Order: sequence, then structure tokens, then C-alpha cells
Amino acid sequence: MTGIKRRRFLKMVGAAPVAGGLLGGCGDKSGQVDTPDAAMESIAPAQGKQAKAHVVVIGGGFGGTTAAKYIRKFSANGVDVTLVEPKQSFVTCPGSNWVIGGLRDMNFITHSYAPLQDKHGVRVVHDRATSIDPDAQTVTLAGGDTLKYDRLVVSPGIAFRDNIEGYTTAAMEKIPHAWHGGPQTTLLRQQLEAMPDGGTVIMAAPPDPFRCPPGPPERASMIAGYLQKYKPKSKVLILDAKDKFSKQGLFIEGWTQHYGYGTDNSMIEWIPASKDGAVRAVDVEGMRVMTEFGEHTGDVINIIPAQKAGDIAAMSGLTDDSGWCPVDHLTWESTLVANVHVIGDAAIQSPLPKSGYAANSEAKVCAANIVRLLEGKSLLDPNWINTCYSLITQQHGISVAMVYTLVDGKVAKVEGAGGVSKSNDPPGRALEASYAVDWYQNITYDIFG
Amino acid sequence: MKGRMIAAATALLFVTGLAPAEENLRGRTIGSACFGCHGAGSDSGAAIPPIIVGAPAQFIEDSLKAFREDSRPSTIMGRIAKGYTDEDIAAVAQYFSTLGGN
Repeated sequence: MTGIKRRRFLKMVGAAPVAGGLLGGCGDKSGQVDTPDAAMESIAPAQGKQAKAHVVVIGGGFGGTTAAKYIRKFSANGVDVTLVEPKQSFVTCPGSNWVIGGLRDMNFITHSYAPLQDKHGVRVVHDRATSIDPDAQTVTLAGGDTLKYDRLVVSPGIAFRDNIEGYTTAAMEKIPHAWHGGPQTTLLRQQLEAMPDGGTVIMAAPPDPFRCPPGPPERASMIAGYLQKYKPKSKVLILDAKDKFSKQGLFIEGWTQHYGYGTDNSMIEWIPASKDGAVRAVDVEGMRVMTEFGEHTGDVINIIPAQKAGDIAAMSGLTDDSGWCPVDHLTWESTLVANVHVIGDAAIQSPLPKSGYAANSEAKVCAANIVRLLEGKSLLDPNWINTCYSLITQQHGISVAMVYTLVDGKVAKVEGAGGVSKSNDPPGRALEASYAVDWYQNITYDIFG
Repeated sequence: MKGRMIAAATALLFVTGLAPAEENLRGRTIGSACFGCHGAGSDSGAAIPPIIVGAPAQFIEDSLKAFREDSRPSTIMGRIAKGYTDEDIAAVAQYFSTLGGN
């Protein structure tokens, strides 16, 4: 069998209604390939013992956890779901800048998987997926178990590229990235607390595309806010691999208002790539970072490296030359491996951003259409929203929002919708600062509650 | 495509006797994306934005149209409501009105 034929065959098998436990056969089959008898016969024995279809989800972050919960909801618990996630609890990346700035504690951004299991009937396996066999439709875990799936959802988030010389795994213990929520968040916070007044905090911001586009300027804001209060002679230096950044106008408006941006006494300085901002190498012992033509010494250094899809995606043939995973946006099924769906930061989703809200929204579209596929029903037209709030101070919030739809098989922004907060609107900034925290509580409840 | 989906949904309702909330799949698709901010239940701990689960359909529909036309001031809802047609708004309003929270 050639690759293409094999893929089409797997697709057809996957689209066949699964016997037992589901409402398969009631709906029409528009948009689906008719299932030839040969394919039906070949899968009949494998399904003989299975009462319900089984979806395995790899990765318990914003995308994977949402997908697991909503596959249960949308199938009225008619599909069995197993979530594979090594961590016992999840520390979110959203909100972690607030912890770094001292506005919230780690407990606020840490979430249990218990409700997913107890309220929604998802089987949570705390193990690490080590390989995927798309022909046998199995996932192998580090602990030795093998899980068989009808459909697999892979939501592994990001891994780092080696774009900064000297930034090894060992170096991360002294110079944190803090781009995964958890011990790295705590480490960066502790370093800021230990830093003497008059110190410089260096942040190296990554090139596009990367997780959470407004994350680096929000982090700089939160650090500046902490320094202003406790170490006012200190400053934040952002060395950027880009020439512009998300919500730039609103951030600069806020920095000018609160942190003296643009003056000699600014607590935040931003150096774009065109002014030699891109960090090329780091000297961990000397606490120095090197750009093409210069070097900077910091008291605390935060390196956010360039990114790619999480390791399991690359190991399983889900990534293309870009390092990210191409998918069909109607179902989020990989265009490279049949019956495997990739959502969240690891997927190629532009113009949707690599954000937690987008991952949550993608997961629901993916969940709905996986259930439709398993039930042998027509696929649903998707709709997505992204909403990202950032804090510049505890009372100064800004947002970006967009509505997305599918046009000619591709994600497209709905014309006339979305955009960023109005500038020069102090009451709006105060409201959005409180909405930011409510956003966090509601989206994490939607995912983990 | 839409006609077929409505027909399929009606057939499903007839055969299985599912609740109307399950039948309104367009409303469910759009509404699911709103839960990120508005909360799928009442115990998330957030004070605002309002939990709209279970609100009357007419109220949600009128509110969304007013946000869309900027006749009701907002920080963000005007930007989001502009992404939807009258049909979308009616569907999502009906969907939320039939939910009892989770």
C-alpha cells in the first residue's frame, strides 16, 4: 500500500460508525467518504469486544484537558476518554506572570485533575507517552502500558529550539525560561526577590511563532511593577528577537503612564531585533547574554527560547519542516497521520494565535467533530474565539479578541470583528484589569472544573 | 449543508428524544467558545463577566445585538459580537437559555 492509499484507508476506517453505545447511524453522512464493505470487514473483529469508542488524549494542558472533558460532554458520556499527563496537577502559563510579579501565589495557578475524573468520567493516567503507532492505533507509555485508540488527540504544547548558544537544560536551573508554569515560575520569582536594588533584569524575548504572544511584554510589566514598589533603582531590559510585539501600542501606552517608558529613568527598556536585540548566546557563570554586536550583564536573566511543537509530535511524524503540526482545521486531524488530531500551541493554527484561549476553543471544535466522526454523522461548521487579557499593573488591564471561522478549509478572521482595547480609556483599563482575573477563573473552571 | 444538518438534528430529536439544547448544534458550537470567559457553571469563583447560562434567550439576543451595534457600551463584547450574524446570535441565545449550568 502506498502512503496515500494507506492514509485514505485509515481515514475511511476512522469515519465508520463505531458499533454499540453510540447513536451511530441516525444522522446523515454528508461530508463523509462512503465506507466500502472491505474496510468494514477488516475492522469488525477489532471492534467486537469494544462497547464504546475510545479516545486517548496526550497532554493535560489547556487544549488536551478541554478536549477530554468536551468529548465526554458532547457524546453524553458515550465515548471513553483517557488523558495521559505525567504531572499530578497542572500549573498554568496564563497567570504565571502575575505570580512572578507577586500579585498571586502558585496555588492560584495550580489545578487538580480530580474533577475531570470524578465529575466527567475521564480516566486520567499520570504517565508520559513515549511513542505512537498510527497503524496499530496505540500509544505506548513510559511505564510500559499500551493504550489502544479509535481517535488520538495530541496536545503536547511547546518544546524549545536550540537557538541560544549555551542555554542548556542545566543552564535553565540558573537562568530560568519560566515559559512552562511550575518550578521555573517559582525560581524566577525567588531570583527577583533575592536581587539587590539597582539590579538589571534581562528578558530575552523569542522570535515568532511562539506560545502566548503578549506574554513577554506582560512579564516585563509585572516585573517592573514589583521593582517599582520594592527595588525602585532597578530596571527591566527586554532584548527582543522581533521588531514588534503583541498589543504593542497598548503596552507602550501603559509603560509610559506607569513606568516612565521613553524617559531616562524608564523602568522598562525594549531593544528590538533591528537594534541588535536578538540574543545569540548566554554565559551562565558570568550572567551575560551576547547579541550579534554586543553583550549585556544582568542580575537576573530570563531567557525565552525559540519554540517548536512538543517532543512527542516530532517523534511521531506529526510535524513538518516548520517544526509545527499541519492539521485540517475542520477536525484538527493531522494532515500527516490519520486518526491523530493535534490541537493547541503545537498545531499550525494561524491566524489563531498560540494562546490558552485558542487552545480551549480549538479543543471544543475538535471534540465536537471527533464525536461526530465516531457517531458517523456530518461534521459541524466550526467557530472559534480568542480572548487574551494582559495586566500592566494590578489596576491596568488590556485585551485582544477575535472571532474566527472556516473559509475554504482554512481558519480566517471574521471581517469587522475583534481587535485590541481602546487606547486612552482609563475606566476601560480598570474594568479590564478585573476582567483579566475573572477570565482566568472562568477559563480554568471551563477546563479543570 | 445547513438544511441537511437541521434535518439530521430534527431526525435525531425525533428518534432519541434528546433535549432541545442538544439539538441546537450551531448554538452549541458558538456558545462553547463563549465559556472561556463567561463560565460554563456558576461556581468558578469569578464575579464578572456575568454567567449567562440559563438567561432568557431574548435578553441575550438583544444584548448581543446592542453590543454589536455599539449602542450598549462595552470594553470587549462589542468587538466579539461583531463576529456574528443575526442567525448566529439567535442560535447562541437559544442555546444559553436552555442550559442549567453544569
